[in-house]
Amino acid sequence: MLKISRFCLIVVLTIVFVIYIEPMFKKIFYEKKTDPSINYSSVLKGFVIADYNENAGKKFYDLNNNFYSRIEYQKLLPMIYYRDLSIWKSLPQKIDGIDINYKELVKYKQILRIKSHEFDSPEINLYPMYESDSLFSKIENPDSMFTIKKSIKFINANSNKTDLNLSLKFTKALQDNGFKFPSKQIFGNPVPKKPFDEGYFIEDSSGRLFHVKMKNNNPFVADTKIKLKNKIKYIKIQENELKEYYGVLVTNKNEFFLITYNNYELIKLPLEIDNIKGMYFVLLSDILKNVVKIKNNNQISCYAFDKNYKLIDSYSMFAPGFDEKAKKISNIFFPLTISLVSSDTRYVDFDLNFSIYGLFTSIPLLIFFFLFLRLKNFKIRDHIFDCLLIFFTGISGFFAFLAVGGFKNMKCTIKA
Amino acid sequence: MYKALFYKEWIKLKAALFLLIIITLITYLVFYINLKTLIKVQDAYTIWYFASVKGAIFYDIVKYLIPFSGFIIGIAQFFPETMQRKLRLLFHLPIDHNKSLGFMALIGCFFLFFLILINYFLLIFILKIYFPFVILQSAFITSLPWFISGFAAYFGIILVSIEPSIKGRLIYGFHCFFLVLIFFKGTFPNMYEKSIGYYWLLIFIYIFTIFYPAFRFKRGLD
Repeated sequence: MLKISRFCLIVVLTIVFVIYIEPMFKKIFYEKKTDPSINYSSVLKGFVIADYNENAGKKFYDLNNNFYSRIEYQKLLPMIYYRDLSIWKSLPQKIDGIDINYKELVKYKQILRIKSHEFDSPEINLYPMYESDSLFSKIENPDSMFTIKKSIKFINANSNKTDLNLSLKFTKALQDNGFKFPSKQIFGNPVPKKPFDEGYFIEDSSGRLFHVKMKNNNPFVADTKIKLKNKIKYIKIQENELKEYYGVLVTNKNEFFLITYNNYELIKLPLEIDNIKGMYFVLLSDILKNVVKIKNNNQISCYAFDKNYKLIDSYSMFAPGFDEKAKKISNIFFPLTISLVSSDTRYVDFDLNFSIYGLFTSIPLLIFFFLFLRLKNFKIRDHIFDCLLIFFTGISGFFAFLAVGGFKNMKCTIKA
Repeated sequence: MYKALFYKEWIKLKAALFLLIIITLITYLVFYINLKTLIKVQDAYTIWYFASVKGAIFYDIVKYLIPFSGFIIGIAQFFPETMQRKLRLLFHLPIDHNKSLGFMALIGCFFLFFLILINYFLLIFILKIYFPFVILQSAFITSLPWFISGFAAYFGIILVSIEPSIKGRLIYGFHCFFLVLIFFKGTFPNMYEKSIGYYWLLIFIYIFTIFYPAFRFKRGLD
């Protein structure tokens, strides 16, 4: 029991050391770094890059190694810097035969962002159902919110009681359209700050995707008839006055589709994404083109599409993050890391990572540990688990051992 | 013998328990008044919206009640005995010292569990007045690590109390503080859904740690 107790003490101490010391240690080696910005210039018909890092040497350049001043660079991107260009009276009259004016540029500008934590966030099954065909310019708060699983249930917030009438109306409308309860997943944009509401996309138990919203106080249900080979991982809905697309659908095989207003037709974006953990996705649309920018695994990619989402060009570059060097150093000193919170998820999780480079520290520490045992007359066979712990956790395990001390046969050491 | 031990612990703990129950009731009264005022000043829908869509946690006032209770129970139960080295008497009773210490810790855990039940009852009772079942469900999951952190605080205090060396006490004290903080890492509702098993595992391992310093205490080792 004594050995077990001592080992448990060392294990818990090690866990606390790993959780707190490793992130603090890593912070020492953080660097000042900004990701370069890749943009597709409709003027130049190619990619231009802005690198604001102090050690970059060059700031604004294109892929043919032409360098630009900041003003020249902004003039190459009228769809982004139209405000400055308008002040300088430098907005081009026409690009590709299309008239360019300030109002049109503002109207056609759309941005949709997806951060990787959106794929992995806890949700409370309680959503607002806004009126999608409201008389008012501002979206009004409803009286009730709904939950959906075995049925759809509206609960009045003031009375905290089920609104039977509305619940039955929606349940019936869903069932009449072929929806099979229980629901699997629900996706929507439940914030009221938007031009109008498109409701929710709900996946039923058979994997069919339905579009559900409130129209004139009545349910609107449409079977999207979307058929996919792979399972739906996430749908980002974003309402926009242009009504080009409802949002972006992501499958569990990292495929990205746009759900268009053309009878829910899907457009597949030809992106090459191996892993969406830690990914940042942004879709920028303007009057001439659509651009997708992705930051993932120290790589930034930019894809330019025409208005019909046909790929014009793409470019990727290596862009290590501010913590890249810190991670490498930390891996040497801390073979095992445990991160509880990260920007990739909103869950608290004991995410264990083991780095083989940590053996560079673990092995010398083990040698030192054996010498220490010999010097203090401790038996190695009493410290087998300590050895394993130091091997797998490096400095953290060694500190824990030092804090608790070695195990001695204490039968003869009773004080008077 | 165990009955007598229980009675001894009850004598030590009853005042602390009474105090903790009063503190708990006052905290939940404040929570109820705050929530009632919030719903009166805003409106129920807005509060529901923030709770479900924006991930606001309206009940975080009760966050540190249970670790505080664990801390107080640990102090009330072990400090009087270890300060005057009376715990050595316990170890000389005709029961195995691990069993007697384990039984003492079990009594402390029992009272802590009783306080957790009171906390859950009050939390769910108050939330039920204003919120639907899904929010109650979420509150249950979200507050579970906060509540079980009480056991970490309790066992940490036992370690600090029975460790004979000053160096060891300091190490276990700091360690317990940071260990308890691990149970408060999240900031969103339902954030502990994936990790709750690990938290229980951590508590389970921590239970066994008290026997090593107890042995050192018995032997009078520094």
